[in-house]
Amino acid sequence: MTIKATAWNSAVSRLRAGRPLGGCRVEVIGTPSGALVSADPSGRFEHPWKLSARWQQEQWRVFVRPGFVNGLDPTIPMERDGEQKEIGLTDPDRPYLTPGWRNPLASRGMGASLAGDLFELPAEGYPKFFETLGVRKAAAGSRAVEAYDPQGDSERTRELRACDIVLVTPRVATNQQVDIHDPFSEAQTVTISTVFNDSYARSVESKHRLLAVAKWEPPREPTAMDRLMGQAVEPQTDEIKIATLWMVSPPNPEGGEEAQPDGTWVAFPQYDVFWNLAHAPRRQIPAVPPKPITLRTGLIGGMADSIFNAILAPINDANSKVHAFLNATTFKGEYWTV
Amino acid sequence: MDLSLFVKPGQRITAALWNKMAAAARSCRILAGDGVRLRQTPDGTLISCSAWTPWNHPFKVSLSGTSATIGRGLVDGIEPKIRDVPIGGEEGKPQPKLEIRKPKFDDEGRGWIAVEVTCEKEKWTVEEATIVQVDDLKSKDPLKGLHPLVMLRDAGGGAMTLFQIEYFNLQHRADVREGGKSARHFFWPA
Repeated sequence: MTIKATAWNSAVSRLRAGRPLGGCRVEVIGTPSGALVSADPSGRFEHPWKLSARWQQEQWRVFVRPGFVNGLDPTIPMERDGEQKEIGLTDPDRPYLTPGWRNPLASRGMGASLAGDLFELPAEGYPKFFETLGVRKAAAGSRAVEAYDPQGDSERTRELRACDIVLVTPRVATNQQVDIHDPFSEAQTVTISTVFNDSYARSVESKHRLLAVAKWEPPREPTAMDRLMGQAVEPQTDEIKIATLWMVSPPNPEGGEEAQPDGTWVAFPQYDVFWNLAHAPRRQIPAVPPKPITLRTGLIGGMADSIFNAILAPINDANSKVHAFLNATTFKGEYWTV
Repeated sequence: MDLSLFVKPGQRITAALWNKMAAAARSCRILAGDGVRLRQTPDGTLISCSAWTPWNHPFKVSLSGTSATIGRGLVDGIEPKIRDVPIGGEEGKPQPKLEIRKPKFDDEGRGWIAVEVTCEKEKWTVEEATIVQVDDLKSKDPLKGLHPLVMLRDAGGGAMTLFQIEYFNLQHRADVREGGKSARHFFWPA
């Protein structure tokens, strides 16, 4: 079949004329799968914590529209005048975050089965939205059965990186100290006392801080058993994820899978928190430290059932007391929107 | 767009060129982004953008010189007052203004316009609410609770920068301790 050059060129011209271009108050981002048309953000309501990522001085800087916790603006740790300082979000010289990136397309590492076989873990993945933009497929792991993808990988060549923006509130942590007395007597006395730790809260000089971390994991709270065994290490922070910042590369970026975001990449924030916050510990720190709890447990073995029952009653009472005591000695806080 | 798609007379339309044309056609598809709605028709795609209008939310504070007006908002259904006039205004009376001729700032140049609720002694329900300008959000009186509406930052030379904090009507509960000697006041959106 012969196609005339003029006919072909006129088809190309028509295609070219059909491209959407950004006009007044409209933003257009070109992708292999289509042109993403968005309304210009300048005229719209801007919520607290709104991120604005800019490529400045060869690094990505993330500026945060001031959000508030208990009426206070959180700080960002930054170097100012040669010193490390906590700069508030409402400071006239706006602070910014300089994130490190994770690769959500790469395998999360290796795993081992009970049979001793090693296998590759699947990647973290990403929201479906980025498929439309042409981000390449995330590693499925060596155990996954590849699904049929009619679109194929050839057109999806963009890389993706991400980081999390986290609000951190230093707080008083507690741990339980278990003292066992009179171990050689027939009755054993156990004292459980509470130790307060506010070293982090005193060292950071800020009530609420914003940090950029490659991948955020919620602080692990100790279990009741950890507390009872005296092994509990309570986190010294309450934390909440504000947003994830996704960075999308141009098609086929230089460096491929090892590419790092530069000025040619485009930032897409995904928010977990839209509104200002309040924060309070569930319990107030007492003016007087809690009185240590003391338990006396009879250690009489090989006696009749009636004696066991007599012993079990105080043990159950003691158990309730321990639970009440342990629950009363955590100062974990909660966030809520206001 | 890739200009190598244009051909000269006699040039072969190769598979590579055809695929480039298909990719170019694909990249011209219109996708709806933030604030955009699309309607595809046989004659083309209708693109509609949201018209952004200012949001007059509850407790919206406007600063004009040394006075501030506060949009109507409620705490447990009670409208706070400025000099005994509800913040949204009364029939026959203009919307009241909070005069801030000498703004109070803390050591770091932060101040707040806040709603101060006064609780009834027995049930600890909100009895009245007033708008105040403060440099500390802690109240010495356990019956009174403060909730910030905006933060004011001292910009020097008598100028202030305003940061809106509250956008919603509020609910309030008091967590009473020591038989009423101390209390924590909690606020959340209604």
